[in-house]
Amino acid sequence: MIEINKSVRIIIPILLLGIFILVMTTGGILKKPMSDEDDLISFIEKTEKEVLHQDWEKASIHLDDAKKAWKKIVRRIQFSAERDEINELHKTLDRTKGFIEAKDKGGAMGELAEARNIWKELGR
Amino acid sequence: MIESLVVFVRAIIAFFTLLIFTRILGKQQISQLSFFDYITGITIGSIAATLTTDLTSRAWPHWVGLFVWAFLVFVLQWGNLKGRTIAKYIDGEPEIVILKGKIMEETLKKTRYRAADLLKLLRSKDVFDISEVEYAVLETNGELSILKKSEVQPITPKDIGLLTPYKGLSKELIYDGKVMERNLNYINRDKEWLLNQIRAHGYGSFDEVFLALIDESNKMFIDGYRDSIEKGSEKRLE
Repeated sequence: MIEINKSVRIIIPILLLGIFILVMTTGGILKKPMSDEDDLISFIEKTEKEVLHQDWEKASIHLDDAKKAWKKIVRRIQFSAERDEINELHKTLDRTKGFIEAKDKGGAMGELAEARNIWKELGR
Repeated sequence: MIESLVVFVRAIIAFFTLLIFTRILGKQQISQLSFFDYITGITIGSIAATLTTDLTSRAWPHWVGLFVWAFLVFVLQWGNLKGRTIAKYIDGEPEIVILKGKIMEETLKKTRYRAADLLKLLRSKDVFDISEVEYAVLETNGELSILKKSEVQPITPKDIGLLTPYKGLSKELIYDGKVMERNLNYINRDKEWLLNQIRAHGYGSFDEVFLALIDESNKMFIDGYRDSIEKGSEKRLE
């Protein structure tokens, strides 16, 4: 029979618990951008700017970038964030798309503000 | 978000967290658990289940809940070990329900036991005639311990002055074909001696032996993989 050293028997559970805690609590860190392509907040800001200037074409392009960025972020934070928050931010971006297509400045700005708020609360 | 993947990862977290926490909480057997321990176990298990499958909230708060429950149980256990008063307060005390052959109705009432429950517990202890019981104690885990009257207790070798040979614990020398060298060293024997022993029982090598035990009177029990029972002659319990 294989004998496990006492220190190994103590280290393994401590290490495991440490990894678990990291997986569950690092949502706030992992949501932050790791490259230019997943900087969600910057894309939302750009979209807001274009919506305010009523340049709907550019706003739509920036919103698509924001959606792509969000997809990348979700992969990292899915183990530490709430499913409903993740889905809600997704829906908010989809609704913004609709408002941009309808050229509705107020609606788009409202949805983008909501997206910002969900982002702020994410992983807290 | 791939929900099944998230559940998979959360299940691993909950499973190993429970394993680690229960190992820390000790080796109390189910039969030793008090009612409170039982409820605590259910609650901890329920939190772990929610941690795994409730994706509407983050895993972390559930894990904190799991940790706090396990920690409180640990604190209570520690208190139980340190002080008799704390132990009495938390677990309660064993209650005497039959004293010198008489049923203590007040105690029964206090412990929420009916006479029928008491009779059931007595039957589970092979007592069908209540007049045979001198004392019956209801333990904190709900089990009944009984002391029968001396005239109905079974006779033992000691009662008739019979000397019996000493029997200690057996040690495993071969387990699943592998020699347990530590046990062999403990009894000051070597592999050569063991090989001679198994050869004397008709086995050629250690691999052929499933289990070899030696008791403290040096009596050996050897069981091999090839059994002499003919195929088809094994009886099944229907």
